[in-house]
Amino acid sequence: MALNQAFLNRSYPSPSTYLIEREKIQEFAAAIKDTNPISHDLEFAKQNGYADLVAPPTFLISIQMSAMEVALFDPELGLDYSKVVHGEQSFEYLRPVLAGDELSFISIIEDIKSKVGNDFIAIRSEVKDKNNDLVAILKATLIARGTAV
Amino acid sequence: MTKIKYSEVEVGFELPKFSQNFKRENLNAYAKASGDFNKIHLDEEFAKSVGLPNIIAHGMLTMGIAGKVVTNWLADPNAIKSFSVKFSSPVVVPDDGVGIDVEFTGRIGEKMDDNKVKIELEARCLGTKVLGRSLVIAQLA
Repeated sequence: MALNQAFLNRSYPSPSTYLIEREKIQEFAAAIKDTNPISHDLEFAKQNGYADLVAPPTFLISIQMSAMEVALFDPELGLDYSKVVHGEQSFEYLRPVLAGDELSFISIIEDIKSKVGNDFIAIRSEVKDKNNDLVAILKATLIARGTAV
Repeated sequence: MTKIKYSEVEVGFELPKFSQNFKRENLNAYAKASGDFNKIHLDEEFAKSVGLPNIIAHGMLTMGIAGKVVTNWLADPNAIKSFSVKFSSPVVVPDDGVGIDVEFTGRIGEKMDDNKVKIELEARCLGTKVLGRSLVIAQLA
């Protein structure tokens, strides 16, 4: 079944802010085999001019997806999550993400379409810090394979 | 701040490449670190039941590792100003203890204004491109 077009342009502010913890940055960096000490060693990060550990470039994806769960798992949307694969992803960074950051997300469903039997949903998220300054913009396209029939 | 100078690189410059082995345990660790517990990355029976050849790696794991082509070279994740990929083909990860190797490469495709460069990344698994249109804009010194 095709996705519910009523969800197009709906926006989803994250219910709370996300505090970026050192341990999560270290764990994420380790999982992608990123041994750069700037993500692991506080003294090294400080020597290089950062107030705290620096997150690897794709770190924010975990928060984007968690911030969108309320929409993606909404039965009204009709997304069969068991068929979902990631189609495209982009990140634009205005500044690095550091441990200690308190970030909020506002996500908007930018596109919903069906093509050759697959459902596509595109989500754009703006990430801001506690001063309301823009930190990053993420775009994700998810594909539900073979569900648009 | 990276020490790599804009004036010292040319279009066509190849960044240091590397190979990364993907095993099931790496997918489990990435699921835990990222919070993406989609069963197509963790449960072989389930992956096959939804028409996949076997468990596939998280696309974001491949993207995360691809980013290291740039961050290893520049030694500073903050040099990356934008990063985009299309996941063109899955990385299928067998449960044989051997895993599967993915080759990561990158080259400078364009020198832009303000000491920025456009870097084209590639990830290949068994000769097949697993990332398409994979681009990084990076700030050089």
